[in-house]
Amino acid sequence: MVREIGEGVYWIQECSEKSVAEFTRKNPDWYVPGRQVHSCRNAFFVDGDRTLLFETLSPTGEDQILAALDGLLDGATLDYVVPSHPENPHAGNTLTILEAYPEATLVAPAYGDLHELYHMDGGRKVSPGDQIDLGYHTVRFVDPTFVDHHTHVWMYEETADVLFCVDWIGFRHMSGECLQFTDEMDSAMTVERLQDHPRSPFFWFKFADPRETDDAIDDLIDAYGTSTIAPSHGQAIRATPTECMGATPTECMEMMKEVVRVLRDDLDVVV
Amino acid sequence: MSVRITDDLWWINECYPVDDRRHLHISVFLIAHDWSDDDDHSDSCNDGDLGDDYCEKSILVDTGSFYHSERIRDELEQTLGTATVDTVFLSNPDYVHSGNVSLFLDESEVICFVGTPERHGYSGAITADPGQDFEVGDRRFSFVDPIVSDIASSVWIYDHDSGSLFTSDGFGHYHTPGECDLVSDDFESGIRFEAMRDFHDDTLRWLQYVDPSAIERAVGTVFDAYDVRRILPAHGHPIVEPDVDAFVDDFDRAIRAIVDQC
Repeated sequence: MVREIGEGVYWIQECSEKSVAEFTRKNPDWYVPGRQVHSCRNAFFVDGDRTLLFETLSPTGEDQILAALDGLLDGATLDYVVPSHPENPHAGNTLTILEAYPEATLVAPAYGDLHELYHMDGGRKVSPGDQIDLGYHTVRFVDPTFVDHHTHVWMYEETADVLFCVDWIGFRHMSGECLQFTDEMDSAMTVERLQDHPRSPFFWFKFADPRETDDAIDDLIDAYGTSTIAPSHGQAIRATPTECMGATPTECMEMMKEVVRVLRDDLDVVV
Repeated sequence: MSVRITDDLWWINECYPVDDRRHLHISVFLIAHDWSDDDDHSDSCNDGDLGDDYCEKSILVDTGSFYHSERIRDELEQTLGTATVDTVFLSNPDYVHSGNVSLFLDESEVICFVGTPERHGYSGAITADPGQDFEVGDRRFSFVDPIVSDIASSVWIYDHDSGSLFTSDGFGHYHTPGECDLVSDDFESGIRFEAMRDFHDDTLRWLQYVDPSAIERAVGTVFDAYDVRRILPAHGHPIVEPDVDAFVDDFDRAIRAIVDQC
């Protein structure tokens, strides 16, 4: 499943089903009872004079990512493969893709000392501020404000104005909402919707000082409040929602401040 | 290198040189009967010819990195002989903890703490949650919320038999070349505070956003719930009695120092 979300920027989504019974029982405020719920892993392809794939989907998405690349490249070369961090739902097909496209350069986050142990020691390392000129597009690597795993990078594409924020702003969607922008979905963006996914990668929210997370989120709003937001585990959020249901990137990021508070008060230590 | 911690608990302590001055442990822990002098019986246990009472179950906590795969296999063979590992616990899906899990997927029961193991490449693995207990033979393990971790889907594991708390990324610390095989009571003045502080500062990038007293309370909750006689981090020296309390105090200080500097 592939969709263009900005000129020459494509979204590849791998979905898997969650338990309808679980969501029917929980009945969150965004959920339509009886609808199938999906979790997702996203990868993003930037086309142009030079091409780049950000994220690689999980191992169960191997066939899907290879088929998507085959279609999107249409015989052209794949120049760069950028896994955001060395965890299987994000980097799970890195080696497979590099085997299929041996001319591609692996681009890895520079942060950390264990690249050799993550198969990330070859290729190019990038730090916040580094850029790759793809011709029409330019990607810039940015400080990952909220990380899952320390060897981590976020990416911003300047021409289409898209922030790729990896685990940040992840959330479930329902069947029928796959590859939809948030303002196209049947259901609203709510704090309750946004608080499910972070329980895993941002388990530390239970220890959070909201003053610190608020400041960090305000910085993100200042920098990217009018950009398209492309998370790796949620639907893309466009800057100008076309429908009333849609929340803007700024509104979604403001909601994440409340998500931190909710999870801080909600997540007990399980012994 | 394999260091015997108790009669049936081994620390397989591979290292990685982070730079010229510092190493980082990438550890695997083996709980097993020592078959090193008893190949005949290890074969018999493998074949099921000896009863469960004699053939105690063998358990691996984490599988280390692919980088150390051959050495880990050699160490396991030295201790287990031809006996297989019965159960593998993965404390988290990070490649330096799960890098060799493929060696065990066919022969062992693999327990991991991710919602969907297949998405991490572990088809056939069993999922478990913090708060659950698990018995392997007559040995009970409890799975605990990881207070500090570098990655999602992590867990701490408490072994009721040995009083050991396997803390995955938590309580990690660097060491210098030459210290690789030491446990905490081999150090005259204990584990260096800076080694623990720097490891957590480098690894847990989210500490800049937390209230350190909340982490301190959470650690207290875990240590109140369990009689922890040993702390076994994947990235540090085993912390043995009577060093546990002082080490936890240093950990609390380290977290506070990291947050205060942000």
